[in-house]
Amino acid sequence: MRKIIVVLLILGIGMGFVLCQKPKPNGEDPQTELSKDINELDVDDNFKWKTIKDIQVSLTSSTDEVAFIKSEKGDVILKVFLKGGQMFDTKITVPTYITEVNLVCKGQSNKLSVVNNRLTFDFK
Amino acid sequence: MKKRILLLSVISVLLVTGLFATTRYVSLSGTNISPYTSLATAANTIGDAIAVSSAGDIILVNDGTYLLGSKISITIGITVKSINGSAVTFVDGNSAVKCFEISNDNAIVEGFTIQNASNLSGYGGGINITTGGTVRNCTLINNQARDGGGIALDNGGLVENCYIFDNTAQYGGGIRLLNNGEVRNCVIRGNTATTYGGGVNIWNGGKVKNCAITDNTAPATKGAGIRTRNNGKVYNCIIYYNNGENYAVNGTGYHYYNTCTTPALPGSYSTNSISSVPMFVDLTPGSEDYRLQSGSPCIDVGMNFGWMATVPDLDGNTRIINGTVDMGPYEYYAAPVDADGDGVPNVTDDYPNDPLRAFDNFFPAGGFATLAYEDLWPSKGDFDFNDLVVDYRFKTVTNASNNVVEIFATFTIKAFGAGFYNGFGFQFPNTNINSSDLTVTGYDLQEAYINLAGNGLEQGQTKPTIIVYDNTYNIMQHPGQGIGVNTEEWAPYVAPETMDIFIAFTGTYTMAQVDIENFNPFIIINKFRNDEVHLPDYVPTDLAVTWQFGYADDDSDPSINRYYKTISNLPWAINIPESFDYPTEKTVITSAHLKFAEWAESNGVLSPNWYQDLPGYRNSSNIYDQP
Repeated sequence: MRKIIVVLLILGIGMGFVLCQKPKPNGEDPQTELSKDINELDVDDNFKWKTIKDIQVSLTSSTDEVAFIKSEKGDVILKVFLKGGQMFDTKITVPTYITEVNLVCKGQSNKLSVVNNRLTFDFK
Repeated sequence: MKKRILLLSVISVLLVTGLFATTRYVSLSGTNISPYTSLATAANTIGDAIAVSSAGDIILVNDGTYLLGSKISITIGITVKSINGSAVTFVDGNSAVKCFEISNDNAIVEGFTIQNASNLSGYGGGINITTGGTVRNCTLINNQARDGGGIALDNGGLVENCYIFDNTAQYGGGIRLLNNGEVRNCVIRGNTATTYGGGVNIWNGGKVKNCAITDNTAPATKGAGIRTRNNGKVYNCIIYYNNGENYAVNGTGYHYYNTCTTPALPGSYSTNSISSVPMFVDLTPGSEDYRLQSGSPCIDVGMNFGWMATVPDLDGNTRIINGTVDMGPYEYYAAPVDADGDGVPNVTDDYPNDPLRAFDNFFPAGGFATLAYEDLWPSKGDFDFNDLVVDYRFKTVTNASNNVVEIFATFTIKAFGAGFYNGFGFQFPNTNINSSDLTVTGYDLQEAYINLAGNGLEQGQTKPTIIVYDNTYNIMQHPGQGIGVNTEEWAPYVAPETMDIFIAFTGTYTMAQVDIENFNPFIIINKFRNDEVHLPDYVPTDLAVTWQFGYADDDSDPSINRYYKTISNLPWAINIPESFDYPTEKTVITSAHLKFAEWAESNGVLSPNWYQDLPGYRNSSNIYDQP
């Protein structure tokens, strides 16, 4: 009987310990907390460790207009003046995870996919 | 059984509503591997992508000219859309076939130039909408058919915001509407019919709204601009300057509302129409512009429709200004106020009273980026990337010619877990900037080991180089406890220090030429000017010594442009396009940012946003938490 009580006590304390643990702060996943030793990483010789990329941009408008390129969050990445009938070439630099941007001009907003790190658009 | 029926019903609803929609790609350079769900595996033809599609799918078509051997048939409710617009995406009938045949109310074709189609014995050259569907933002040029050289609408369908140029047919050179259908906001110009309706031919019903119909040709009395037969309705159109009668009518039930044409329309089949000259901006052949001039009688005299609340005019601008829509495809906008006369309207000019400046362009676009360093180079450190943690942001001021006037560079030192007296600077990425065109102020140099030219740039450098400060300890006060500043939570917190560097330009350079976003930042180790640490594969400046390349843990090899990497390809610095939450002292970055390893080992493909605060991305207990 005494053994049973001891076992139950140990189980109870153990459960209490587990249940009383603080929840992890936002952004943590206990399943993935373990990560590799940095010295054991298998990194390609050509990896540039880049978190940003360049996108070549060509914009055209039939009339003089101010054009914006905005991120999906609405941040203005580029603000330029387009001369009517002339193609304007430039580049923008964005985080590598960006796959879409919004081109805003003449009151219209066009969501474009970034393909081959190039954007071409004619606002007409 | 009931559950199964319910499940099937739910799946059916999801299918119908497009919740299982798939985006597929078409590209001339794709590897053509079904189901074509990436640009790399894109189909080489639009037809192939359509063949594997289901209702609700979106097919994105990359730039190029798609030469057809047979027509593209769309019988289900899918969207076929160019990625970069009609100026760079062409569907070409090769003077042999019809380009598109659409027969579904929910089908959309958008953003193509459709050209050189031929269907001399049938309906529709460029496009034939048989029972329903929408064509939007397309240019139809140089197509031919028996009916509807550019587009034929047989039994409904919608064509909006398109250019219909230089097409040919027996009936309806530009467009033919057989039994209903609607055309909106289009320029219909230069088309030819050999029998009826040079620009437009309406047979047994159909509506044309807010179009400019001009310079089209048809035989005498057959309607060079438009021929409206039974129940044809025309609203808000400008039908002028055609090569023959601007309009012709036949049958019953046709009517013209709020339309500008000449000669004046009879009251028996017109309402609120005018015959005054429309006052287009330019009629010069080759540079025609069918927007309206100030004072045009076509301004604010159209008939409003509900769709105008969501469909823009042909310029993409709001369709109704001043309460009443204009005639024609373009809404008139009065010239905006431009106080400084630089051509940029005040409403979009960040410097409305300064003709030398127009725009602020920020990098990063929102908030700050961060540079994080290890400073034991050429030996490896502890990889906590907090020996210097500095936020930065560039504001590039440009003029109305989009040339750089000045750059404001802001650097905020958040932490330094270092015992070394390090400096910090950066170099322009290219040699195309003449140093004599720049003047720099705002740096803090107190240690007398940096030699500056009179304009504030460092001497002895091929590329413009700015030393922001020469000793972190002079900028940010050490609290007297801890290894450095703000890397150990038990030590007193020190407020970040901000430095503002101002760079004035006298030469003419575009933003792309300056390319400040790809600047080359570096730290100077412990006041030894020749010891620099850069981002991986960024070149050292002219003042760095190179004998340490390949020494200790460094595996740089200038002969292959390899710099500042260990033999296992690890860096001494990282550049993050957002404000970085850095590890605590002596905590390896992989133990704080749990996706860092995955990102690095996947060559940057996986978790490219590893630094963000997302579920499973970090162990917060290993990240410095400001007290």
